[in-house]
Amino acid sequence: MIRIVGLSLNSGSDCIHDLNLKVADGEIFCLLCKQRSLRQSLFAVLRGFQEPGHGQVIYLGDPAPSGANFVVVDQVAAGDFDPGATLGSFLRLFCRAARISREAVYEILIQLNVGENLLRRRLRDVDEEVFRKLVLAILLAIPAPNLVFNDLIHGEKKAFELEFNNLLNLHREKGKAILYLTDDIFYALHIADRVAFIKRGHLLPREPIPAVDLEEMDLMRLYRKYLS
Amino acid sequence: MIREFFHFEAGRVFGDRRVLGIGLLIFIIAGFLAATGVRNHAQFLEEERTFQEYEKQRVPQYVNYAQYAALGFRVMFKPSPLAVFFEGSRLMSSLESNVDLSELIQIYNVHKGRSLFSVRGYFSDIFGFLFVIGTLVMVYSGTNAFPSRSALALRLQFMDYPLMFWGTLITRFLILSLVFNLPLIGMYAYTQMMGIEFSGREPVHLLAVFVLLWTMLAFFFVLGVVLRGLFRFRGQSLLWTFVVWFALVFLVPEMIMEFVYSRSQNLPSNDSLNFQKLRVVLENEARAVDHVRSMSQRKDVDMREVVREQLRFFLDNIHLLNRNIELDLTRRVHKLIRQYERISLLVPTQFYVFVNREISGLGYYGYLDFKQHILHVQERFLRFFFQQHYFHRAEKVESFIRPGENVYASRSYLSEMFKWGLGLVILYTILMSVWAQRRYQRLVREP
Repeated sequence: MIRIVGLSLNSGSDCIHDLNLKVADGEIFCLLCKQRSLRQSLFAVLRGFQEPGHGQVIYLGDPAPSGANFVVVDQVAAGDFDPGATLGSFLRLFCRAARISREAVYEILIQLNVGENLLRRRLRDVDEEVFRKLVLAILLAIPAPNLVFNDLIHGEKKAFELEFNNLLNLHREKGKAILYLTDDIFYALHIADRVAFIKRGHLLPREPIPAVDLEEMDLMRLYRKYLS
Repeated sequence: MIREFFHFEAGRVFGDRRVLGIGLLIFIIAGFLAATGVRNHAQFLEEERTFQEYEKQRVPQYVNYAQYAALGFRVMFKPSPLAVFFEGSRLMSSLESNVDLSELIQIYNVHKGRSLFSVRGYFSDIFGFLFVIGTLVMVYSGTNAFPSRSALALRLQFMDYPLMFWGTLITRFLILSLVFNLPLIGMYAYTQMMGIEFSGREPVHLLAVFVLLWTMLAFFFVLGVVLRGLFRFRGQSLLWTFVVWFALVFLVPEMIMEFVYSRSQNLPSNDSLNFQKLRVVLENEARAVDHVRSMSQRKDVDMREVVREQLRFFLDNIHLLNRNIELDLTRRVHKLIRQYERISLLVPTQFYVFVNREISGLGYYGYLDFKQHILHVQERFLRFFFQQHYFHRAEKVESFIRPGENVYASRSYLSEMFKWGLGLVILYTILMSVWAQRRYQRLVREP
C-alpha cells in the first residue's frame, strides 16, 4: 500500500498543497497532472530523492530481498547508457545488484516479446525499445510490494503499450499497489482503477473517481476542466 | 558486487571490436615507437664506436702538446638507455663538448649532417604518445562515465549511491587503463628481448614514470567526470572537456616554460660570461708577460722556474677565478631549474613533462652534471698539459684520455620531488573524486 499524508511541495512555480492519497494493494491509481515539472517534482519526492515541504510518503508491505519496498519506473533513454555493453551484461549487473534471479527477468521479457538472443547483442546494435523493455523487466522482477510509474508509455508504440498494460494487470493481480503519474486521461481510462487530478496544487476531486465511473463521463470535459 | 562491476566493464571494453581495434592501433604505434627507440639506441652505440675510433686516431696526428692543447679533444654525451622510451621528451638531441686549453666551456647540440634529422617533435616517444592519447581517451571516458541523471537514477534502483559511484568510477578506470598499460609492459619486454640493458636504479625510475603515467590517466579520467558534473550533464561539457584537456596538456606547460624563460633572462649571457673570463685571462697574461720580461733582465734568475711560477699562479688563481665564474652561473641556473621544478609540481601535466625530460639524462640536471664533468676534465687536461709541456718537456704527444673516458655515460634522473609531485596528483584526483561524488549525488536528486 502507498500512503501519501499531508504532502506539500513548493519548488518555484510548482506547488502541491496537503496531498492525501491512498493506493490500496492490488490497485492501479492514476494521478493526472498537466504540468510536467510538477510531476517530476512529485516523482522525485515519491522515489525519495527529495524531501517534501510537509507530509510524508509511506510505502507499506513486505520489502524485497534487497530491502526495497517500492520500485519506481521512469522513462530511460538508451543513449544515456554504455553503447558498447551487451544487454546481457546490463542484466547480469543489475540482477546481481538488486538480488533477483535472471529467470524472473526472463519471464517478464518473454511477455514483452524480447528474445534471449537479443541479450547477446550490444546496446548500440539493438532497437532502443528493447533496452527500455529490458530495464522495465528488471525493475518489475524486483518483488517489491509497491510500484510507482512516471508516464512510462508516453510516446511509445501501441504494441509496447499493450504489453505493458498486460504486465500492469498481472502485477495488480499479484496484489501490488501501483501509482501511475501521467497527463493522459485516455490512457488512465484503460488501466486505472481510480483516478484523481492535481490542479493548482490541489487534489481534485477530493475523492478520487473510480475508473468505471470515468467511462460514463465526458472525458473531453474532464480534460478541459482539470488538465487544460 | 565489485566482481560484477569488473565483469561488466571488462565485457564492455574488451568485448567490443571497436575498442579492441583502437587498443590494437595503440599497441602497433607503441611498437613502432619502441622499435624506433631501439634502432636509435643501436645507431648511437655505432656512432659512439666511430667517435671513439676517430678520437683515438686524432691524438697521434698532433705534432706537439701546444697543438693538442689548442685543438683539444671531444667528449660525447651518452644518454641513459631509458632514452629508448623517452626520445621525444628530451631537452637536447645529441650533446658534445670540445675540451681544450681555452677557458671556454663549449657544450653544444650537434645538428650537423644526419644529426639534424634526429630532432623530433613533442610526445613522439612511447611515454609521450601514451600520455597524449591516454589522457584524451580518459578525459572523454570520464565525461561519459555518468552521462545523465536518468542513467544514475536507474542504477540507484539497484544499489546504494556510494557503491554505484565508486564501483563504476574505479572499475571503469582500472579496465580502461589496461589499454594503455599493456602496450607499455609489452614494449618493456620487447626492449629486453632486443638486449637493451638497464642498470642501477633505471628499472626503478622506469617503474616510477609508469606509475606517474597511470596516475595521470586517473587524474584525467576523474577530471572528465568532474567536468560532466560541473556542466550538469549538458552536451557542452564535452566541448569544454576537450578545451580543458588541450589547455592542460599543451598550453599550460608552454606558459610555464615561457615564465621560466623570462626568469632566465636575468642570467648573464654566454658571451658576457666568456668575455668576463677572457678579460681575466688577458689581464693576467699582460701582467705575466711584464713580470717575465722584468725578470729576464735580472741576472742569476732561472727563467724556466719563473715561467713555472707563473703557471702555478695561473692554476691557483686565474683558472680558479674563471672556474668560480662558471660555477656561479651553474649555481644560478640550478636555482632556476629548482624553481621550475617546484612550479611544475603544482600542474600535473607540467610535472609529467618535467619528469619525462629528465629521466633519460638529456634534461636540465643531466646537462648540469655533464657540464660539471667537462669542467673537471678540462681542469685535469690543463694540469696534464702543463706537466707534460712545461715541467717534463715531453716530445711525443700522449693521449690524455683513457679508453672510454671521452664518453660521458649519463645516469637516469628522477626528480627529487617526485614523491611530492606524485602525491599531489593523487591528492588532486582524490579531491576531485570526492567533489564529484557529492556533486552527482546532489544532481541526481534534482527533479
